[in-house]
Amino acid sequence: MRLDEFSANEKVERNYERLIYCCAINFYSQMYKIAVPGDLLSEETGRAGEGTYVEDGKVYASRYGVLNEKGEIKVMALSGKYVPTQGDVVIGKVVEISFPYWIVDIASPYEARLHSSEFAGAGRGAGSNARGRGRREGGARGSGMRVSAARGSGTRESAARGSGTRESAARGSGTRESAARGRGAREERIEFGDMKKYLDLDDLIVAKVAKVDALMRVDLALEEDFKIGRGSGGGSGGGRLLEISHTKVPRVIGRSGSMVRMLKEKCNCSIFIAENGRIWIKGSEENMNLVSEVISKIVSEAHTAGLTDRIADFLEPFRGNK
Amino acid sequence: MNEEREKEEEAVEKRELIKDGKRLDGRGFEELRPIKIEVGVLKRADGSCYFELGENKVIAAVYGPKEMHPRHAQDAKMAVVKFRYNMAPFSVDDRKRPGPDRRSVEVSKVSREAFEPVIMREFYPKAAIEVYVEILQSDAGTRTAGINAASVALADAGIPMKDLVSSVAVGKIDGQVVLDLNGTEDNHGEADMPIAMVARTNTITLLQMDGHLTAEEFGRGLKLAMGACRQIYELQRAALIERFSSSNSGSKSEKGGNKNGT
Repeated sequence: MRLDEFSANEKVERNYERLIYCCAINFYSQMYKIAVPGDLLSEETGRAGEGTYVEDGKVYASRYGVLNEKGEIKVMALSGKYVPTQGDVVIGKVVEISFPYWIVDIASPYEARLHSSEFAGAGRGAGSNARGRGRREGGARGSGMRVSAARGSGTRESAARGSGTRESAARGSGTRESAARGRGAREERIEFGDMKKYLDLDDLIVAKVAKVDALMRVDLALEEDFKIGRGSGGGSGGGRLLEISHTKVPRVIGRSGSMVRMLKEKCNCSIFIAENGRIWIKGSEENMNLVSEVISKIVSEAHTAGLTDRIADFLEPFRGNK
Repeated sequence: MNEEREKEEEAVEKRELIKDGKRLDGRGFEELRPIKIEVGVLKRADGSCYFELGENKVIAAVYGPKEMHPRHAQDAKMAVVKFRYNMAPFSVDDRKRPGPDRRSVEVSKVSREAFEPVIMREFYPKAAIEVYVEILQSDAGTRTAGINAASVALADAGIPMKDLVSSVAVGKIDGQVVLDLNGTEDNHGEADMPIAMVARTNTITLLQMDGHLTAEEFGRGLKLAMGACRQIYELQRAALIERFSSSNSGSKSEKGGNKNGT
């Protein structure tokens, strides 16, 4: 997922569908129905969904939140901590370097870890990640592996081109080159002391949750354009980190991304929303202030219906803000 | 207030906690003290609740689930619940020496256990859920008030639970089984029995007794408590729903937003 062209993530959209409690009445301040733990919701156990439990053939609420009785019966909590699940895209902050892992805070009770091989590119984590990294890291900092890989492919091409008389020699050099590459790959392994050259403490990264085991050990895989800033500010690159409850992410995105699309247009900011409730925004200082204000408005009114329309009204005076 | 107190003391000396079928504070035998519940009163905690039961003033705060420290105390299968009941030095007539003591350690333990059957701890392996109950002003029945507050605060924090826990005390004064003793009644009565339960199923999660009751009185007391817990449950539930009603939408501003608070 690229940072500046945010496409509403499928899972988040699904989350939103869960949140919708459809009552097509006048939308201003229309309240959703609130459920409290222990509320009897239904006797159809087959419809028991998230935020509910079944006991003695009946469905009860297990959480305090918005009730959705369309299809599956669900209670969407309005508060609570983020628990990572495989495939989530999150914004994390490096809090510790413990060879060969970076320990990453993902706004959850569980810390995540990012293995140094995520940078080495060889083997796992290749593909799209490598491309992103190549673009970003190719220059100043991506030493070793990145450069040698480029050299490697170059040689392979020339070897392929090299024909006729020099064929054998070319093949020879090709083999030598690939051997060197093999050695190179081993050398590329990030050494103990070098880890902070790649990611240092307080660096913000975009990553996908690659694996969560039963003991809640969380492994991350880097996303494209993974490095977004340092601390809560953007460092030299600008940008700002906002944190909201992950339970309200679907509302900030809106049905099939309508809310975030409107925000981006009216506020002229790039906005990236991660599933752990962290939001990365980038734009002029003034526009970023506006986005923060609107997002905190969305968050505090997340339990009301017709929110997108109200936010649209609120943003009306700012049309075409540049 | 002082006049009231003098009258009370006089009555106590005459060993008269009940007069003309009424208690000293004018309540009937099966009447609760006035209750006030407010949800989400603390901005920094993940969930919170302010609870008043007559002269008792209690605040509960919930943090977590968060990482459990020390690590050796982690449970690989489920979250650990930590519960701290604490009385403020100014919560009683003579200043209470601050810090944990034998009594508050006991109350913390039994209160924690009162929540064991309802909190779905297996959702958060290795994590900790912290509950802090602070007694700001006490007038007998603080542990029941604390449990009621903690129950609402846990729900507010988004912790998955099977049900809310409600709690009340019954006791015996002047030979009568009565509901929800106040300070004077507790000090001069014959028995005090705090009870916590899941009101919907009448599942008792805490039951203690100080003093003596006959089996028949115990049964009557238990029945009284069940009815009262049902009432308290309805108030707890109403407070949680009220939180998101139109009149006070967004009263609790979201934590974070901008982490630096700039």
